[in-house]
Amino acid sequence: MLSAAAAEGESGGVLAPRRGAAGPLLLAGGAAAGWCLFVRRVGAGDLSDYGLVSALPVGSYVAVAALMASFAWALTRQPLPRWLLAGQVVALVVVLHGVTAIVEPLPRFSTAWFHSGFTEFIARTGRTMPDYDARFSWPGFFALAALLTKVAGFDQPLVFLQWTAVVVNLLALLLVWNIAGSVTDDDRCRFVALWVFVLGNWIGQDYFAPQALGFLLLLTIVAILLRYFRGDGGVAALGALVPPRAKEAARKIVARSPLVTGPRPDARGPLWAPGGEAAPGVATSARVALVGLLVVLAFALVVSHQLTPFLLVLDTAALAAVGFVRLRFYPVVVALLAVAWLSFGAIAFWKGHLHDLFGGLGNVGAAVGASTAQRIGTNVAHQHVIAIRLGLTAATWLLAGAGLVRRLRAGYGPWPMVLLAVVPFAMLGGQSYGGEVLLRSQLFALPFLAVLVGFAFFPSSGRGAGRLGLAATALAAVSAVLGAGFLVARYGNERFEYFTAREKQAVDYLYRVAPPRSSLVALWPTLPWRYKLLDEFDYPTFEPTSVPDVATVRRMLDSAAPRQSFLIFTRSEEAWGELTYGMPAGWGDQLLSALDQSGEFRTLFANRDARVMVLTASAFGGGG
Amino acid sequence: MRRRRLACVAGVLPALAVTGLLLLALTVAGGPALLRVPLAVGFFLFGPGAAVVAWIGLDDPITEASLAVAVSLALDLLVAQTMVWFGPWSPAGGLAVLVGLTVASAAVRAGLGGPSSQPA
Repeated sequence: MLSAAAAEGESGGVLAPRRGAAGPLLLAGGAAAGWCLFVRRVGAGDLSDYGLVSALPVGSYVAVAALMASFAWALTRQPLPRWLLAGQVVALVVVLHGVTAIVEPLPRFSTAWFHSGFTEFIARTGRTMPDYDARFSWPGFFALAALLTKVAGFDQPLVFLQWTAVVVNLLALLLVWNIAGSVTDDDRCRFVALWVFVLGNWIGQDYFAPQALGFLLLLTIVAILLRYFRGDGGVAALGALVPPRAKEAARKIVARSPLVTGPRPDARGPLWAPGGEAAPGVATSARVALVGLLVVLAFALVVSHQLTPFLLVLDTAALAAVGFVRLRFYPVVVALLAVAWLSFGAIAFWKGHLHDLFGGLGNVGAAVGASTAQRIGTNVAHQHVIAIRLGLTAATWLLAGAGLVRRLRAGYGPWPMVLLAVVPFAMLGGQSYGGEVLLRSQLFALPFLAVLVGFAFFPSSGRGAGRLGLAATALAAVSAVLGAGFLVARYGNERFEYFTAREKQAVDYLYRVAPPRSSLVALWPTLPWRYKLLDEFDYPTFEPTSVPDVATVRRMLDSAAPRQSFLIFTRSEEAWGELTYGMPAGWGDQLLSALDQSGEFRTLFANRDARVMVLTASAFGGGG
Repeated sequence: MRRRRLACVAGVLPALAVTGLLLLALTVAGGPALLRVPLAVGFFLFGPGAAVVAWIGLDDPITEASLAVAVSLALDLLVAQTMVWFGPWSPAGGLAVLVGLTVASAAVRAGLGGPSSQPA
């Protein structure tokens, strides 16, 4: 184990007196026990328009607050209780990302169920259907999931859906730890980076989806590049690019910054140096092997996700251009692989979607507009959820900015983190990607922002005891705010992302009863369907923007004639209508009464949460 | 400054090889899902990657572990994808390839005594 003096690597500071970790350990244990005691199953009726946050018992919130306090407290202990801190971070992942797996009866989020459908198709047939959906042109993730599903003894992967977010976040923590290690060797700061990453990952792209895999692969590649292929030329070159007077002016501004207290930066090292652990001396053969693995990882990424390979090219090209990383050919290799796959492997997608891919080029306004405005509905609570997401994003950036300034004041420049936080937003100039580009940019910036936020609390090791206490208290307070915001931002849409067992019963009834090639109709796709048999049925959704009338519903069910159509209407669809289009509460029941009274519809299956209906004029309705 | 090595990838490799063999046996024989799910998740996340990364001799166990996971996922994916593109779709066959790689790597390391990891 390193001696305490060596652990204070950046400052060579004084040995601090020993402060035991028994207190934080007890508090953390109590928090964990309390949470397990208080947390209980949540029913659909417990959810409000703000989602899960109103359904969780108060006791569980107290427990989470205690966990946050214990983490901040543990950070002030000497020597740093690394195992306790790691345990607390894992507990935070379970409490924030695993809560729905524990309190909800079924996997959430209809897109995850749809991905299950892709997986089930490959597991059943060993083929893909590239003409079915764009995602099938990048089948890597689904093929992997299909193999895992069959080996585990299932036909479809529903059993994996609920815990995917926890696993992905735990794996990401290893990578954030590595990435932080490239700009600091202070473990306090690294643990805060992990903590802030977990709190900041409300973005929700860690569910059962290709993006989750793409995220992990990209982070792994960047972490390896930053650790084993560090270049120094760019750092000095960067400094040489800036005229000395500008550098001096920057130094003065930083010294006078109101955020910074304490001694002026001394000449501990060049202002622009990244700091961090010295580049480890591994053998050349190891480096060659690593390069080979980096190409393998890039290939796996290229066949799995549409967008992430291009971000990888941007990230690695930026790192190489500035000189932070030595492997200049790597972005070229990734770009070639991505373009080759697009040209040859993804032909079905390319033929039909050329405009989708490149039509948004240069049109930043459209990308941002689609990302923000068009996704805002007319329900007030829903708009609050959107506002909280924007607020959390802004808070993360502000804290990261403060961290950058404090780190500069400490004499180091964590510029690779700044670069990698900013580069993902260059995607805004590329395509609107169905309006989700802003969210994904923030996701890919998050690990690097988290490291910078770590510096806001612990800019360098070697602080006095009083400073530690102040930083820890501030961290506990910030955590509470971010944590509360997380629950609203991540689970604010729970009314239509949560599914009940009764809704699944209706879906399974449909799958049992509907003849092949039938048309299974829903108003919107927010229900637990399409998790299997994608090729056997059509799944049209007619997506009204206001409460549909009987005639509209009849037309929708008629449109597939002479094939049989079935309408499935669930509680979650009703919730979507209320939250997204501001439809009045209970509009679903009114619609169903209208359909019943019209005499044109026959109900085949009904329970409290779902209804399956057909036209009386159709075969299943008794007519035709 | 020498860092004391924590449990590293090379140390876990034999256990992963055994896990893979167990999983293969259960898959072929059609064993209970309760056993197969944790074995499958554990092997798919760590096995094939550990088989490769153990030979590189990296300096930090956390870097090794995270790289092993990524390489595992990539190798699992490539085997699955190859079956989808070219070959017969045989989950047991794909698993056999991955398990074979892991077992072979573990066996060779055990036989050779393994190249020692690079000093930090």
